[in-house]
Amino acid sequence: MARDIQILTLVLLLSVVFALGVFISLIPAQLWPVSVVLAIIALALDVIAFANKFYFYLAEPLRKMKNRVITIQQEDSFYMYPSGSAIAIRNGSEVTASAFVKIPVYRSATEMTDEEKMNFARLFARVVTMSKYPIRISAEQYVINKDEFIDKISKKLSDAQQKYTSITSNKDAPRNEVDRIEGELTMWHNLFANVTKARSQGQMAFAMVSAVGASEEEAVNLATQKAEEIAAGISATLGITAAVAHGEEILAFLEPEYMIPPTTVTEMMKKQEQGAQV
Amino acid sequence: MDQNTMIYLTVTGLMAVFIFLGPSYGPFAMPVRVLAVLAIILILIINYADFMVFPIFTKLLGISIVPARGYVIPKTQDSVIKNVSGLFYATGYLTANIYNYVFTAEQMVQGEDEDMARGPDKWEKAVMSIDFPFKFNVMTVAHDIQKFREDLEGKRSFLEFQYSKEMGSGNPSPSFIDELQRKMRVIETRMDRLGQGERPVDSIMYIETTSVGVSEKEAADKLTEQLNHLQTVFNVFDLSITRIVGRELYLLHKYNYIVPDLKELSANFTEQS
Repeated sequence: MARDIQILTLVLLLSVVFALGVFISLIPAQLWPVSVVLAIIALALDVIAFANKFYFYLAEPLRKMKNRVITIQQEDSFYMYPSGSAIAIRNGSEVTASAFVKIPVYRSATEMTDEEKMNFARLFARVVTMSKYPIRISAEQYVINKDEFIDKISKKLSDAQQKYTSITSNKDAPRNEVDRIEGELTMWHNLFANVTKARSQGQMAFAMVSAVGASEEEAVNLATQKAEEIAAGISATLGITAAVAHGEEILAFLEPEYMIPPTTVTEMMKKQEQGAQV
Repeated sequence: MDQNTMIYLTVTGLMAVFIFLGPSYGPFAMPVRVLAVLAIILILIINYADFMVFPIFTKLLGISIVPARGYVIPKTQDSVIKNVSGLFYATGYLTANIYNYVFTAEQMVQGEDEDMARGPDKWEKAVMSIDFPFKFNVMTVAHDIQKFREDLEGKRSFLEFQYSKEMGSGNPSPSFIDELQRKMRVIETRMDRLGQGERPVDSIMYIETTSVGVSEKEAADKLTEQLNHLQTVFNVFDLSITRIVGRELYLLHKYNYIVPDLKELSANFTEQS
């Protein structure tokens, strides 16, 4: 639809430019000021007509620009379909859905013979070319999410800290109990320091496919059907179990905060800052 | 350059030339012609180098773009930034197109299999030296082999006809004959590859990386470092690597959620990608 409007705009603008051009050529020489004004208008419209090819998507948002901010879309980039099998994006009367396929590859090139490496490369090339629909295949390196683990350890650490403070405030506390709590506190301290010292990274690969439908259900069904076909093809070609991704697995492919989990990275940044101060 | 762009370029260019050669503009003839030339130059710049012009335009006017809720493309047009509870995530892109796409080669290259076998090793070595998150993306669609073969056969027949016509003429041009022979060799090579089971594809490859910082500037600086590192590391592959800025940045952000159809891809990606 948007593409049709874009072409229509181009045709309209060029028709106006052409009409102006013809009109200018018919204007008598003594009316040259009119020719000059019309020529300038025609040239401006001509440039706008060409710019329409690349910047058509900005035309409407540019008109509504506020405080030097062009807002193309006020809603979120996508929303998760309730079943969690695909994401959906509404665009006027159409809905586009995208489904994802996890591609688990566990073997490293270091454990392959030369022939196996060549076969793997060939098979991978076949995976890339097997789909009759446009697909995106991506390999992703991400920071492993230790947010929950870090939260748990920091809670344990603060509990131990509290216990230590309360026991040391009591002068009659038994010595062995104080030592035990001190040991526990050191243990949590060390664990916390080690967990946040370095970022652990993981890798995953996935394929993505999209489909357009008149309704959410139609688009999602089409997209998941395509994804299942692709998953079956990849599984058969590479001899692995590729499957359609769901819910949070999809978010891990899309959202930056899933690629770099906030708590994990904040703790690392604090550690780096402390290191720099020392 | 795709067919649509050629049509756009020709029609708009012709219009500007038409006005340039137009009637009398009195004492303003020279300024109008200068404007017409400027319009032609602007059209060419938009087509070939809009990734340079667009960021200059947004920087000068201080314009930033919000592609969707929570995301901002700053006026420098070199990253997409997301603010998540005070942490700034900056995402940037690099093109990663293959220089030597074998389907356009004149001859089957020797040692291609060995090159292929080195691929997994090269990939692992490259990845080992990267200690930040990134994605390597390949967007692809395969052609219908039968249709592709028929097209090639049609082209070959036409070239053969031209060749025999040129040879039959009294004074054949050696340069034209060479050109025809070269084109025929490319088609033969493509048909050989199809015979070996290869499928022709249209593809776009790009690398994406995300950095994080406590301010927009910190995230953007780290992103530049990461992109430079990726550029160095992926040089071992035969790739054309350029940082993506400007209009294509928004499109790649959009393609994170939607795989576009071929028409949209070829309409939007020209010189930079």
